[in-house]
Amino acid sequence: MKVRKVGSLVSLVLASSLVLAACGKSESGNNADSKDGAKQTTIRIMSVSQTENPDGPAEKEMAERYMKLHPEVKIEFIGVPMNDLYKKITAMATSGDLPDAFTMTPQFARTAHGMGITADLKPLLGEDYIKEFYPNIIEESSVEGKLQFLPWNAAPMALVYRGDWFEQEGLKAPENWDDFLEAAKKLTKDTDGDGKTDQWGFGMIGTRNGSGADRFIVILRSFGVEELRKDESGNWVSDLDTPEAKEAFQFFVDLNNKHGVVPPGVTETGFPEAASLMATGKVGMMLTGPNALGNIVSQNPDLKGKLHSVPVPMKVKHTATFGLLGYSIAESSKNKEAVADYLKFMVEDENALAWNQLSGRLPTKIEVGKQQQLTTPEYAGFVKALEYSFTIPAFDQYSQFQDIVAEAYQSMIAANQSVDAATRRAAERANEVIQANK
Amino acid sequence: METTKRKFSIFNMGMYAILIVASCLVLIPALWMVSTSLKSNEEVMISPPKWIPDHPTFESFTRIWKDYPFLDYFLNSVFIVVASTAITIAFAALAGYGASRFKFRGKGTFLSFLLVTQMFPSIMLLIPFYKVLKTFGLIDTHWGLIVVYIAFALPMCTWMMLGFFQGIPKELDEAAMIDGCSQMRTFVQIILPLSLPGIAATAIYSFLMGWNEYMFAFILVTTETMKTLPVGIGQLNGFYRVVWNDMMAASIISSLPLIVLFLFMQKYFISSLTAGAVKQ
Amino acid sequence: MLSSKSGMRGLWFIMPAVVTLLLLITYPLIYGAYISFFDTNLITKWNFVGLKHYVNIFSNTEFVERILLTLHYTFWVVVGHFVIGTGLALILNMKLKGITVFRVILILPWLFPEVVVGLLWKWLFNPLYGLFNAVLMKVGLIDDPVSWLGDEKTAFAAVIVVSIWKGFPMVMMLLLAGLQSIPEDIYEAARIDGCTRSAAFRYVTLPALMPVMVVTLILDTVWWFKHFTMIWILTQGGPGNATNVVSIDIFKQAFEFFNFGKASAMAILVFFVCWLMGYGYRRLFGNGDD
Repeated sequence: MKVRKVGSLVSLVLASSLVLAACGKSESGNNADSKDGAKQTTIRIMSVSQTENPDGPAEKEMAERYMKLHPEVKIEFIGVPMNDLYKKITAMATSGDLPDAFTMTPQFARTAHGMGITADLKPLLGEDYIKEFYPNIIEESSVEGKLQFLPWNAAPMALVYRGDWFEQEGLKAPENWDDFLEAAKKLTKDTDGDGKTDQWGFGMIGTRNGSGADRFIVILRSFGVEELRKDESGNWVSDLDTPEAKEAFQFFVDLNNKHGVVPPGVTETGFPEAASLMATGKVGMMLTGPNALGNIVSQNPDLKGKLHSVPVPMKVKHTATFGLLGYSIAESSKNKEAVADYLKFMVEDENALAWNQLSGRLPTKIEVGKQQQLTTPEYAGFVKALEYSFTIPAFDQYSQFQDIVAEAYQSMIAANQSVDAATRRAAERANEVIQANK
Repeated sequence: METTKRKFSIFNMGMYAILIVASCLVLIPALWMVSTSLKSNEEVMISPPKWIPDHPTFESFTRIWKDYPFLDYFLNSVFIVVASTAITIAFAALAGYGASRFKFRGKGTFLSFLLVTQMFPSIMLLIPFYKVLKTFGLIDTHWGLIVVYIAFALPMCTWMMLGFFQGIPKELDEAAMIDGCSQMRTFVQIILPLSLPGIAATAIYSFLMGWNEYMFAFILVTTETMKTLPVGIGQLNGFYRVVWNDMMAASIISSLPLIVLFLFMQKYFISSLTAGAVKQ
Repeated sequence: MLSSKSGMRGLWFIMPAVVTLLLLITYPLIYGAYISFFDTNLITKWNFVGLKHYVNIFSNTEFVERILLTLHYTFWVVVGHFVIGTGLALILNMKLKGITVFRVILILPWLFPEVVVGLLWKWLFNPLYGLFNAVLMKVGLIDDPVSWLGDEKTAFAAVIVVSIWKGFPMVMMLLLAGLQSIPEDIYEAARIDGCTRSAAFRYVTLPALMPVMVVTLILDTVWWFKHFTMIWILTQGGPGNATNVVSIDIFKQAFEFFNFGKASAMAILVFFVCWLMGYGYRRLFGNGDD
């Protein structure tokens, strides 16, 4: 008796939720209908540009131009902030609900490949088409020989500095870390004479996230240390507790703890904070991709032409990250061809150049790169940095390494931990992750 | 007599002093939010900061309506939260009444279960929720979020309603039933009207929970025009740029409805916030 | 009312709530427990690993350290809530003039969304443009801007301060409601019996308030033990591991490192810790079920 009643109630509730479900479905069905009733393909694209300004409107405008050329295609954007992109992709993927295309980075491509959610773009775009891109960029966008995403643009990391300040102080663009430190010390001063420092040499980014960690890893690699690499026998190893690694950590941390050439609050200074410090003339240098130029100039138009770039200073070599951003096509998408066609449109010469103008990010195709007048002092360093860029290790837990180095430098900065303790802990964690991955 | 009176007024003054200090600690951050929202982009980045902007401007307030679909966010939030609150209250009132008036097997389990639901880190519910809603086709719909917010608010609201009903003498029900009312009619016609203050309090709780929720709204909704206010504010906290004045303006806009609602209902709210609820 | 028939009717009343919760809370909970036994990316990889994640979690002191840090954080937050909340509730319960104004003001932090509170305080603590440093420097307490969220000790304290600011109104109101439910005539009787103000508090107010306090204490503890949003916005668990409470660790395991199995195992353990705390409180204050 009881059971039966409970059972009937459950089914009642289930039935009512099905009614709700039906409502939901009919709603979305209506959306998909085109205005004129012609057969139309709707492609949904999840984009991080949509939540940024002016990138979002510009990307929309590009899609509209495409839709004018191809009236049978309708493009819908889903805006997601970069901070929350991976979460959203994961949640959608686990329920088989991915949009046709979504923003992808090399860091996440390994994980996405493991999840089997990304279509291999090589057969879709054709070998010949892919040859139009810089080969090392294609390599960085691939996992196990499969092209995970179409590289839309690159933001290689370089050192941006105030050209006008350097000239006043008689400094030249830093080639190595000694030059850098000297420049940073000279630029750190009290400009209004109230006895308090109000201008600093370096806008250091020390947050505990990918953005902070990627910057430090570039410095680390310029000291000849690899946070993760394959040894001769093909096993993953980490160099995080070598003397060179300690030197790199100590150098980075001393900029704050010893030399005081960075503004207060490095561990809470992320990219947006550092960019606004640069825009308001509080700092003279920062490590960043070329997209920062547009960002800073839009905050303070007076700085146009005053921001110069050079490759990241070196200890034993120059290095950089590619800072690639592109779109993956979902393995589950029913409109792969249509999406691929739109993606090709995005990187066409004219569109790629326009995007470079707008966002400062560099084009990824060889021909477009040649057409560029990228030899201005603003861009020279970034273009050179592309040569020094390293490929992120194809390790599907790579994001753990970002967290490992970030934990280490933060505990040295904020808790005065010794470099030995911090790197020991980092190496321990690194080995644990490597072990677990076997 | 004289001395006690003076003692009392000194005592009262002490009380007022505490209240004023506490109010200042609450108000200063809130006013700083208002001050920031009235600054121009340039003035936000002045160090040291100023309390009163030199050139107060409402441009942040106009921007959030013009440059971002905050009107959509706002209306979505209102619809979702009102609907989920109404349903939550209905379910919670029924359950609270049932638990306060009847003895049945599993009642203790049910009440402990309500408490236990509060103990699991909600972040791990994200993916299962997505799956459940996907099964019912509720992803990216208002109803999807409504269902989720019902599930979140229901345990606490049931406790609150239960406590309230316990405060209403059972003799009232018995009298009504002797007069020939059915249990359901007794509940709807006699008990419910008596418990309006309790309902108001519970409603505020449920409203607040839904209005402020960020993470699930972010994951379960994808279309720009379907997003809620907290998600909209979260998007202003950009990866490449943090626009403090716009963000503070949006924060003010999103907090106002709650403050207004509370002003209207505060009398009910405080006097009935379920002392009993919690008595269980 | 004790007949089995009325018992059934009781079930009918609670049925909508039960079904909703079974569908929407119980299934996800079971799912969470289930994946804690797998090494999985939730899509292509489903390797059953048994208790490996649990063994792994307890193989070093890291998780225990996180739990202790979280307990430390929760302790100060809850103490703050109760000291401030009880004090203000007692005052707001007095018949002073203009008390309604204070009531409305003091409730404000509770009405702001957590996202807003997190961002607002991050802005207040900003080393260069924030109000906090500006005021302290003007008063002369500090000479140079301090990075409150960037130093291990101050960041932990700062996060606690913000959590207390946000959460005390809830405790204040629950206790105020409890106070108002104490009938006036009890105090009257106590006064006639010659009770002093403090004795009346000790022998009338406190016992009457006890049940409300216990449940408020349980809820406040488990809520803040699991707290995530504001700490994430303020410090992301940093600097170093200074504010790396267990919810942040779970979040990172799941959505940054994509170790869903391990994250679920940690969530299950947190669930048990919360349950134990609830149980402990009830034992401690002798307020068992029914």
